[in-house]
Amino acid sequence: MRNPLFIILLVGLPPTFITLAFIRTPDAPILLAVPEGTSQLTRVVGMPDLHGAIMVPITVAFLSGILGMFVMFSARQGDRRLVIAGYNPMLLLSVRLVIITLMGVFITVLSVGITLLSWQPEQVALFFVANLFPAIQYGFLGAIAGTYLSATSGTYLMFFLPMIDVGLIQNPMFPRQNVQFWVKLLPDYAPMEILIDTSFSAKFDTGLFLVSAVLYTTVLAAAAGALFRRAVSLYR
Amino acid sequence: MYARHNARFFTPLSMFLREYYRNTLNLVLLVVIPILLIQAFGNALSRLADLFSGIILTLNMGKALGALWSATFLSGIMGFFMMSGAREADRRLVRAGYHPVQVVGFRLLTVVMLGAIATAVSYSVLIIQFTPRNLALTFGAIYLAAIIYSALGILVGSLIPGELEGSFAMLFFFVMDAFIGSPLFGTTSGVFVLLPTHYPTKILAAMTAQQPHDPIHWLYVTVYAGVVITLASVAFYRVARLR
Repeated sequence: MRNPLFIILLVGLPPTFITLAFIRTPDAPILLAVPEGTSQLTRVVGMPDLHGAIMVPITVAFLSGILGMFVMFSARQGDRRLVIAGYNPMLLLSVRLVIITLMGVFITVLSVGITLLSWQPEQVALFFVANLFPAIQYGFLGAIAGTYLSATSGTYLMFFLPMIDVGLIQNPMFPRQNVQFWVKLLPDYAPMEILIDTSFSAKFDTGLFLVSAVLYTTVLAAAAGALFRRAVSLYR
Repeated sequence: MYARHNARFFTPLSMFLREYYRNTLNLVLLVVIPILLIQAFGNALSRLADLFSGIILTLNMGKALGALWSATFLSGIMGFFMMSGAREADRRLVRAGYHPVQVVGFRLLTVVMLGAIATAVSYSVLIIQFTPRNLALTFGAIYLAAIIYSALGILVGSLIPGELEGSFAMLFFFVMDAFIGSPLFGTTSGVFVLLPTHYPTKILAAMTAQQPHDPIHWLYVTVYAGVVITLASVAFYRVARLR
């Protein structure tokens, strides 16, 4: 936070990505399967609306992932010294995860706010929640990467994981019906279902996906905790 | 005398390369990410192929773009972190008697070699999936794009010393190239001609789709590469010289 350039980039990148996605995508219709009750209805939606909507999770996942990676990477030597000085590793980890979560919330608020200037999802509050999941999940994945990897490896990984998961595999611009089982195991599968529902349907039909996303996030936090504890352990 | 001359040449070069390959995980990711990215493109685009017949060329185009992006963005990140680590190392080499121009030469040679490795890995993964019509030109398009991104990473690293801030700046080019300005998401605007992989993407997409492309695009790519490499050389020189 001491570096003004960090603030400028953090605040400047979401409006740039999201607004450009709305402005520059050709105004063409696209067919999209939207959850409706227990089934799915195929609707015609505008390509700029869909591209703009999915730029939000793409943006938050990238920024939170890289941020989470550097929060842990820059702190890991200091944290090991703090553990030697008697601090509880879980306390240190909790502080780091809270910072990453707060940053994720900030990035999501900013990104959703920018989106609302160009387009209104059907369920705004739940649309925010749908985007909060990739922010927090990729923040935690970044934290795991930052605990173990070098800056080069960690950055490379946190550039490509969100791109592969959020940008390509889960991208609803490519049909998502009958996806393979492993696609459902990726972090953004459930949040993307919620995002499609809350963006293009007036009624919330993806409660199970919401529960699944909460569980996934909890598991990631637990994994980050276990790996962090191992990394700063005095007995290694 | 000859051995001493050799050592003087190879020591800095191997030192710069070792900065990257001494970390085993860097090497693992070098291989794993292109495989995952090309597979991800294959998975996403094959879902389109289930709905529309005759989309096989688009599928291959997507895979070729996956290879392009994995090679270029890795080269960009390597260029950026190389610049971040160059400040002290290069000055020490100059204090040890190397001329700054020599150090810049070694750095550029390293960039060229790392770009070639990143391209070779992505290209190998790609040609296992399908055989492009022109193997050499496909490699050339990916390699030139990788060199452009390496130089871009060096420039970002020279202007922005912080690793987090620099990574965000690299992310700007990454997202603009892969998502905002990408033909894959329907964007065709002329505003994006200045993006680093705009023309390499056009060349590669046309070649993969077995369509003709304008040869002048190669000139644009070469000029773009020449400009960013020159700027990157200046950036390295400024870091290496002792004040």
